[in-house]
Amino acid sequence: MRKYLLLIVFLALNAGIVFAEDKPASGELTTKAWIAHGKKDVEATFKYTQECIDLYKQQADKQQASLGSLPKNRKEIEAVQALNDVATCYFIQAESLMRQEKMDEAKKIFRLIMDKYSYGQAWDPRGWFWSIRLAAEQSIKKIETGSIEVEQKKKVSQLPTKLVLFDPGKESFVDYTKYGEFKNVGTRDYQYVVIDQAGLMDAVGEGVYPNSSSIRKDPIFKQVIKDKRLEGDAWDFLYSPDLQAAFVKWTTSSEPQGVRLFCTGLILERAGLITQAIKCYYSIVVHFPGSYGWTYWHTPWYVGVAAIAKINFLLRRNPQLGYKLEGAEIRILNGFDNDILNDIAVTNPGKFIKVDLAQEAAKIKPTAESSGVKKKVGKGKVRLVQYNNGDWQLLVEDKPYIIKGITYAPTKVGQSPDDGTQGNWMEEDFNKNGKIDGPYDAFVDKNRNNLQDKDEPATGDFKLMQDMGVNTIRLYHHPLKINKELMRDLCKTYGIRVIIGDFLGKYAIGSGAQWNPGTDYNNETHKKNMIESVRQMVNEFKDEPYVLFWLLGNENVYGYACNANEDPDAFFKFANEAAKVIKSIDPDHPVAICSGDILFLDKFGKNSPDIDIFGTNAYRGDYGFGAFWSQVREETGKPAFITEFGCPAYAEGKNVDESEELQAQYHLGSWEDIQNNMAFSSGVGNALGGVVFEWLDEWWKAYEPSIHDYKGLWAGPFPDGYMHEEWLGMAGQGNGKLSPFLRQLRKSYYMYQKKWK
Amino acid sequence: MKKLLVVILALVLAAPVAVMAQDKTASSKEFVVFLDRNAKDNHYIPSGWMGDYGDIKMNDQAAENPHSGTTSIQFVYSAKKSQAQGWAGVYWQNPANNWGNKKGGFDLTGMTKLTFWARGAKGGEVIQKIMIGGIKGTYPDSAVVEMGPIELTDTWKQYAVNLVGKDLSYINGAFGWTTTADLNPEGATFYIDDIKFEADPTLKPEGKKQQAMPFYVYADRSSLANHFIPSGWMGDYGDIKYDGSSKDDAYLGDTCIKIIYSGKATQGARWAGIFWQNPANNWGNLDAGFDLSKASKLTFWARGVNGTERIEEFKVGGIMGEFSDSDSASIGPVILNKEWTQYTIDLKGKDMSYIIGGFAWSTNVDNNPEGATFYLDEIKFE
Repeated sequence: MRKYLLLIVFLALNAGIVFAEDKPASGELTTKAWIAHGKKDVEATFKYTQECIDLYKQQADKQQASLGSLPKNRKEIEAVQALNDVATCYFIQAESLMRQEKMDEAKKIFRLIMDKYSYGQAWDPRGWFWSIRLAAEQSIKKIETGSIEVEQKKKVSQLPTKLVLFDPGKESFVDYTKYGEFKNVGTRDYQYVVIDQAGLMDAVGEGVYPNSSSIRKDPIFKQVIKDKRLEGDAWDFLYSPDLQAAFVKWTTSSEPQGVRLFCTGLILERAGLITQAIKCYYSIVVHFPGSYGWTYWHTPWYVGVAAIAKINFLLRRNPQLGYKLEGAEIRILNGFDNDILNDIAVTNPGKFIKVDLAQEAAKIKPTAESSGVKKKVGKGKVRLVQYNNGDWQLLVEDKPYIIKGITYAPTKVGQSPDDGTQGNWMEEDFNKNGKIDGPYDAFVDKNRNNLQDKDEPATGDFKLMQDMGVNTIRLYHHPLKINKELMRDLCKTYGIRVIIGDFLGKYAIGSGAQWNPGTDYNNETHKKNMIESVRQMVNEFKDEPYVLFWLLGNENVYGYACNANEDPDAFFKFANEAAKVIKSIDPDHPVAICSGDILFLDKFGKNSPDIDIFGTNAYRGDYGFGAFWSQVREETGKPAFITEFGCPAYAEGKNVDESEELQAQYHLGSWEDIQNNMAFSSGVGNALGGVVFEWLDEWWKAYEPSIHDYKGLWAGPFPDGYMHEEWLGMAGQGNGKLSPFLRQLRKSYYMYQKKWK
Repeated sequence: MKKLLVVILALVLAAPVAVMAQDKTASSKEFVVFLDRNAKDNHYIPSGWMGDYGDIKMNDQAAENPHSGTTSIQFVYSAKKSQAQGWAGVYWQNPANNWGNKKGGFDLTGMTKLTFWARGAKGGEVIQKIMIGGIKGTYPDSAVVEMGPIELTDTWKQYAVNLVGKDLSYINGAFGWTTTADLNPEGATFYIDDIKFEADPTLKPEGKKQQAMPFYVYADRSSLANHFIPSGWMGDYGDIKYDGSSKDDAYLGDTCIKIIYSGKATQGARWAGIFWQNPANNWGNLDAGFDLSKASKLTFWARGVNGTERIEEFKVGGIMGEFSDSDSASIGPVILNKEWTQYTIDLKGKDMSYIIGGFAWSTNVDNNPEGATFYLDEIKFE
């Protein structure tokens, strides 16, 4: 916490200097320039950009000269703000010139960015930084060829190889008690003391701690060195098809042990060596339970906790192995903030138990009737109920309701909120047939020829979603106006309900704050405006039949145009006030929060007793959400759901079929995890369902709205290690020419159809 | 004066020509590196000064008590760290100043050993290392062989380096020595004479010998027992200050190692560490691993100034390259105590037959936001 205070003081001091010199901040000018550019106000665009360049160019030049490579994380990137803003302002100028068809002048400025400001980066409010140099390079390419794809040279070996272990170890499920002693199990002083290291090495085999010898005796070791297939950064190997090189690279890497073992486990999994992968993950639990890595956003990632989730996932997926991991738990005390210094790991490594599948199946499972109701929340048609065994369910008209949700925003190709061209899909009727396009006129391009053939009639997304098994969509009441008639039909005809949300000051929406510094949850004016926004939402929609429940915020805890990341207590206290206001107007619908993974989960538990459901956006990988459900139970005692989860249907190096399969597998793993944690299932019992992100690919997300580009926007646990934000749909838009009508349904669509219908 | 300069210039210009005219192949039973100044058999020139070159004075006509002939070469090493390197040395090259940028050298195939004579002015002077070959560049030497450290006596003694089985087809750096200020804190004066390659058909290849235990990484500042160099600075190397001769309450002997890690993330990596290597800066590119198969553990003593410093990892081995360490082993994270505490890395079951990276530590700014100051001592394989 002290660190944050220091940071705030530092920022305040800096701000003081800027005001003392009486010059506007570079960020402020850049924001104004973007807005002017969005409004196509060329004069204002050039006024603000030029002012920023004139005031900060010298500082930007110095910052560029001080760098040797692209700054990697948020902290480093924000340390060179002048450089970022000056580069962005040049970029806006060039974009504006391009829009005016002054191509030569635009190219000149794009080249200037590439030559002089190559380390500048800009923040995308959707959650990542983008390289201005790369964007400039793409824009030049677009001017010259009409395409934006910049060829990326593969950084590491791409030779497809098969991995066969030289030493798979003597035991498949290692009995650690033979080789050492577990001490203080279930406490913060947990330790596994190795007594017979040589014996343990023989048992675990290649790649698994503490066996670091076998890999060096493996013939592939010398071969990959000889072939120079190890050249490059270990992280670039994680998704390389050269499994041999990836395995050698990671088993011998200098990354912290926990991270090294987790990544080795991932490679073993990809090689189909599931038992060895499980051993690898379990060695983290036994030896390095408190180890951590960092996410793209520099939030801690607890490797031991993830390792348990991975093991459970693999054992579930491979019942033929005949084992389950019983009693394993790692709790990271104080682990919900960004400060790892106060972390304490409380570890119980559990143990592998043989399971008799027939016996398991024959076990009598509790039901709603056998358990009995402990607690009811709400009085209306939509209620929450907790049973005596602690499990939660959402009831709609007294029937259990599993949230089989999807985010629905069928943006037409070419439209973008970035340049002010995004329309309201709830109103658009481009073919002027009197019907709203996406919902009623969309058709399935079955043969994927990018044409509407005779046997491909207009079906409409609502029907397609109904056929998929969707029963819920998620919508915010601002900035786009909700078409009530449309939503009524969605509910009445297709049986799909709507979770309606208010951003609660995220992106400065609803608070009246300027983008910079953004919403302040201690500012009475901001709070008053936000309460008014929430009040307006509830009054307008509370009697609509399609409302499932209310949703507050959208991962505000990460910050960006709001200070929930700096003062989470204030944010959650305020969110609780908003929930109270909602309930005073509408006691008939529950209230949920939309948070960012488990960041500050403890503070939610402490400050938001009137919010009924903990919802969160989580992108953790194909194995689901790990300890999320148990952590919510422990910290809040409330039911939970995933407000966003998803995976791109594009993976570098994979063909369309393979990529779609990987997307479907990711979704399957995620949904199975949700399912396993629903009431009366084998897991925690507090899962209400989830909202898939998203129905349709949106082409504007990586900036250029007319081109479906492949950019990896941020590193994450996806099939090729990157998020390709324009490929998240259950349906694609083909070549884009028949947008917003054409739908190419992906494997994930049919996977959900099987699971949900 | 002008005339003299011209003469010198002419000699300098003539020298390479003379060398070029020589046969580039060694065919007799011996091949002289250096006998006496201006000896016609000399094939190499002591021109490759390295490290703190300002600390070296060379007199190639030292007449006092040569081993043979009329002179020997005297080196006076001041240990003043003129170039702030802490070490210095000289290579005999052909032609002079050839760091692999031009074709020179000789094909010494058939030679099986290098011999030389050396003595210290007082006795006790330490040469850290003798090298044969090892110059890189466009025209790299075909082999590198090292010997050392050696402690000189005050009388002439002959030393030999076994070269059986080595590829001597192109040797530009025929002979070189290095030493450090730590090994010779007061400096060193020593003499070298009669350096030559010899062909001895009876000589057998020298196998890798298993090192006897204990085998020190670090014992004391100028200890001859130190076998590895703390040269592999990693991550935010600008955050590290290393003092290998700290007198702040050493655990044993006169000195210990003091490390100050500032945590300023100077290079943006947010972590830093040091590998002790053999030889210095060997990231697996040189075949110079020790056979430490007899070791069952590595022990070391450590303490932190505040007793809260968190070191992520202490490690043995793990260097990867053309010549990789045969294994790795580590402990960590370790939160140091204020008092000296002994730590052990268990090596049982590990393959320690080839170790270039004898010891390493690493830590990061996330766990040491204010940095960390800590001490190490008595790092040894047992």
